[in-house]
Amino acid sequence: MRRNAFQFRSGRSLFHRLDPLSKLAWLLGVSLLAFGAYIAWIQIAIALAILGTALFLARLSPFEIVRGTWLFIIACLGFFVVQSLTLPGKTIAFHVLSMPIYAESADYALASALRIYTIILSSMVFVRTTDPRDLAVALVTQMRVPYRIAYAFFIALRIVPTIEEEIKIIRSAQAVRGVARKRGIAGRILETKRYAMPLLVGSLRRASMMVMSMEGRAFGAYPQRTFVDAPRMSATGIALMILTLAAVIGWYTSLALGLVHSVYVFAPN
Amino acid sequence: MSVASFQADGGAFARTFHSDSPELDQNDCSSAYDDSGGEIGISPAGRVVDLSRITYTYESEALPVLHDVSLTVERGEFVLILGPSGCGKSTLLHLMNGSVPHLMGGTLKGSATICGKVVADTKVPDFATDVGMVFQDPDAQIINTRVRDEVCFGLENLCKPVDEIMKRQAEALEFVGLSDLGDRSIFELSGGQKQRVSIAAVLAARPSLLVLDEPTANLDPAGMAEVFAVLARLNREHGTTIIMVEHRVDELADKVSRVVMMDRGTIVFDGSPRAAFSSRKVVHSEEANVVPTASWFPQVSEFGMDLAQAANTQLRTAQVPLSVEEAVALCSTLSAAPMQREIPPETQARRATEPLLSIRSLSFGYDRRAPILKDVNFELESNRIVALLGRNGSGKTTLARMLVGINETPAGVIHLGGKDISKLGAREIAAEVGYVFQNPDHQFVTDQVDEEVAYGLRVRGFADSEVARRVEDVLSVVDLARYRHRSPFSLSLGERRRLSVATMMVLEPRLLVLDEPTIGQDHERAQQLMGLMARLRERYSTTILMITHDVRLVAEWADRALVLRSGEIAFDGAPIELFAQSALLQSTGLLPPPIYEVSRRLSELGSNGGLKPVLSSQALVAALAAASQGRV
Amino acid sequence: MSVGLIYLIVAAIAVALAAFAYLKNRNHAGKIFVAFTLLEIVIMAIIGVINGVLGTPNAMIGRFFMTFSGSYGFLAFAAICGGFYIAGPLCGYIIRKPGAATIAETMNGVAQVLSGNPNGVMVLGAGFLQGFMSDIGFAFYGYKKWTLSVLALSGALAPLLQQIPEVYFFGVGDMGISYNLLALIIRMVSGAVYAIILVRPIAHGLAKAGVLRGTAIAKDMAPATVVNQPTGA
Repeated sequence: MRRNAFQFRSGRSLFHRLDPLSKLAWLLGVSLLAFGAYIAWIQIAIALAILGTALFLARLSPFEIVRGTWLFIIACLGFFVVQSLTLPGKTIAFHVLSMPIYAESADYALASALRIYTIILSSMVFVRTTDPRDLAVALVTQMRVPYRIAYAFFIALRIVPTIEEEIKIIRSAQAVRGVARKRGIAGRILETKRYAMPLLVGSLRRASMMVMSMEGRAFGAYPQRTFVDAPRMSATGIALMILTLAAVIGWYTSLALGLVHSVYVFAPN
Repeated sequence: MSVASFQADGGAFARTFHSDSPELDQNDCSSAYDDSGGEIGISPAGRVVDLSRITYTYESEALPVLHDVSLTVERGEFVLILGPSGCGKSTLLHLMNGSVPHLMGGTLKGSATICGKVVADTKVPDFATDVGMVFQDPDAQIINTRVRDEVCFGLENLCKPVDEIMKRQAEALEFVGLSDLGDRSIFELSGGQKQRVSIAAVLAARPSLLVLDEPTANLDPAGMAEVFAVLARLNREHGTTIIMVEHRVDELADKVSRVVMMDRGTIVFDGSPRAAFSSRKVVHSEEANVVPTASWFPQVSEFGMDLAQAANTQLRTAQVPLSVEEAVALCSTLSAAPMQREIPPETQARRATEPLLSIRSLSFGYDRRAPILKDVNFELESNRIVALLGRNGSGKTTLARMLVGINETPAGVIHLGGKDISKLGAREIAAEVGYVFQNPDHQFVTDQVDEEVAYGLRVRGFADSEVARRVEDVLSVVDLARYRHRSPFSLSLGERRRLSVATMMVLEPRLLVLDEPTIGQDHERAQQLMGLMARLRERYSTTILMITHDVRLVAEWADRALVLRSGEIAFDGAPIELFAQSALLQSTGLLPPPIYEVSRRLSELGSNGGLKPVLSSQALVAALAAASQGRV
Repeated sequence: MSVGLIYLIVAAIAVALAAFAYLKNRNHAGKIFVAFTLLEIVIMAIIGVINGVLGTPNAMIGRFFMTFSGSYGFLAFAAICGGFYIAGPLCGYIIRKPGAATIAETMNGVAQVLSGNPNGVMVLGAGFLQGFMSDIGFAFYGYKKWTLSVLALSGALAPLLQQIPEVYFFGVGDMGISYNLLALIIRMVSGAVYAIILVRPIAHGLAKAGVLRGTAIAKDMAPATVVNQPTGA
């Protein structure tokens, strides 16, 4: 079976050694930045920064990045091409097959395509370098979340790869049965049930085992529990958070003060 | 914080448990009691388990799943629990640490004391230092992603100080032989290693009782041997009491100290393994069919009984063989007497068949550096049962999936009935090849059993009358007609497996591929399923290609065996020839069936007049009888 | 009146509903927050994650809608939004405790981030808001009534708060009041329709399969109807 790209893998990179909450703050900051920017140059800058982070700070190989995100690369290219061709604009930059391409549209299209890719890539960096356990532990030890609730997160993070793998198996298992499309809106919605039921039944059959396995090992015996090597916020982590925060505040202040503004003034879709 | 509410009526000692008990103990970590290796709390007599007149009913069910069960287990015993599916053996195990009734709800009557603690008054987490629970599915019970974290998990919950946790986890990992893998991700481990991690994870809390529910059902023979070796050592060296439900009696019979047999919620036998396997009884399956207990007997014990019958004697309990060595020894005592000769049923030669599928130099892999299949060549004829064997990860499933076009196939390599499979559409392939997945749940697409069977026909546009006729037919063959209006998901595992076979059978495919169809099922169920396959072969000349680890089934039912070793075909031929190649068996993690071993050793002894290795108990008895007559 | 004001009113309504539900339950049950058992926590996580993993491709489809059909994309996307809200009503219906829908939908968000939702960590917040409003639907009836109409209400309330941040992220805030209200109504109808069609068949199917043992719904299914179920032993 091929390993999922969106799955934690241990490593020794700088990002692997960072504590999960600093990385979470970084991820939030990147998303806020990406969403607040409709201008190509700033999106290019953010995307390059994230790509650099992925390659050098998280030590993901270019091959892995492409393999994990190829679907999004194609989708983003699609968005870019379609939006460049269809959005209205003023300044004609060049012609493609006698169709005018407007500079404003292209700029806006590039920004929105890169925004999606930036968010995907940053999510991938986070997931690949963060052990779900460390995240759950950090929520308890640093954020004072009750450990039972933190473990709900933990279990969710833990089973995502299993569920994704199982969906693939169910798809092929049902393909062997043949496909009969159902008619009508209700029929279409009920088709979801076809995948959902085997997934739910299988996972929930395991749920009681999971519970027995956890409670059988004294989970919930005391209001507190020990954590062996709980992650600690390092100086690097604090520096990263300050940097991210500064970037976010800086960008939104410049927006508010009108120091930067979108070149695309036509109604965005 | 009482979660148990006494039932008001009649003053009976029944309690109904509500599973929605929220917070457990309000103790702080500081008040954690000291447990020194689980010594505290065991009653003076060293009685670990004391169940008296237990009757238990699941919430929302009318009939009790355990009925008037009494069982005591002393310290240091190794107890094997046997029973047909649905007999309540798992429920009994879950009672051992209070999962039943505290997690499952329901009503518990009778008194249960485990390691000196009254089950009705003790929460599940409070049993952690006394009872360790290990289940069948590693993916369900391993909570953490790193091996060491998993082993530390229980100790962390017990609020142990960090240095003690580190010391104990190291000990536990060392005991199961995984000291080097502490920092590995559990996704990188083999099935056997995962189960050893699960065992280490409960051992870290130093329980005095270990409870295991089919711990090796998902493992290949090599993984199974790893797990059993750890358990035997634990029992022998540390005196840990072990209670286990497991179907693999062949490998366990000479390791356990006691066998308990269950039937429909009650205990029908409780005694030594030799006594257990000395006489045939019958019990009842979930669907109330009669099941002979002999179907769970180790093959050597079964052989012992057959041999005694032929020699017109009764085996004394002490004579019942539990291992290959004992069976060989028994032969020398019994075969001195003249034996009745029963003519074994002739194995009829199968009629000549046409080639169905041919594979020519097939190589496949997602990654060029690590091909999954390397230059695979073979042909399948119709009207055969073919077993596909090999270690987990040797490429069996990948190969099987290529035959139904789930994995894209290179052009010109696989031909089905003369046509290149890579050029056929999914529907054309599905008309000829059926594929029964390992987990039957994955293939269910409707809400009702009869609809499920009809589905494939309806998709292919069969007329309603034809659909009705074929569905009726198939439902009666797989013996599910009485459940026609039930939801497929609500059936038992054995029934779901039969239903998923039925959904493929109804299309009358020429080739039916089954991915580990007997996993998690006892020998009786496996036999039933293989009987169904044999009927299918007779009726439609279907060829069955079956991925399996069960060498006993292969010996009994398969016409041909294919063995994959790291992506290459390492063997292709009759099962009996396979078991003669000990080097090959070793390298592919397979063990020959016990009866083959017995007959091989007898033939090596040479005192039995040219006896050849055989694959069934009856055949061996017949050969021995012939030899004894030859001597007279 | 600007779009911003409209959404302020919508948010105020949502908060008022929540306050009303809170007061109503305080008078009736006495206990607002009931702790979850570990089994319930695991069930919420599983249902949330499955919803999330199955829903992520829909988020991708939504992106395509918005790109290829311009301003109608957001409306078309709104029509399939009900699929994202399902975990909330489903868990509420199965577990029948306050907060079940909220936690399940938050887990839905977690799973979507992990399986590559194009909207990134924003869906975490969206999940929480969706689930919270779904819970309000059940809270109106004190977690005691489990009819189709309650399920429909729970599904319909889900987008009330959740749409607000999304509108700004997708930049449809400039499309005018009627457009935004229409989107909200489509989402609410979609939420209600999905809840009506899916929640009961799935929940009852799961209960019949015997995998919900130990939850409120399993207790609720009368013993008479499930006599011959396999014991799963």
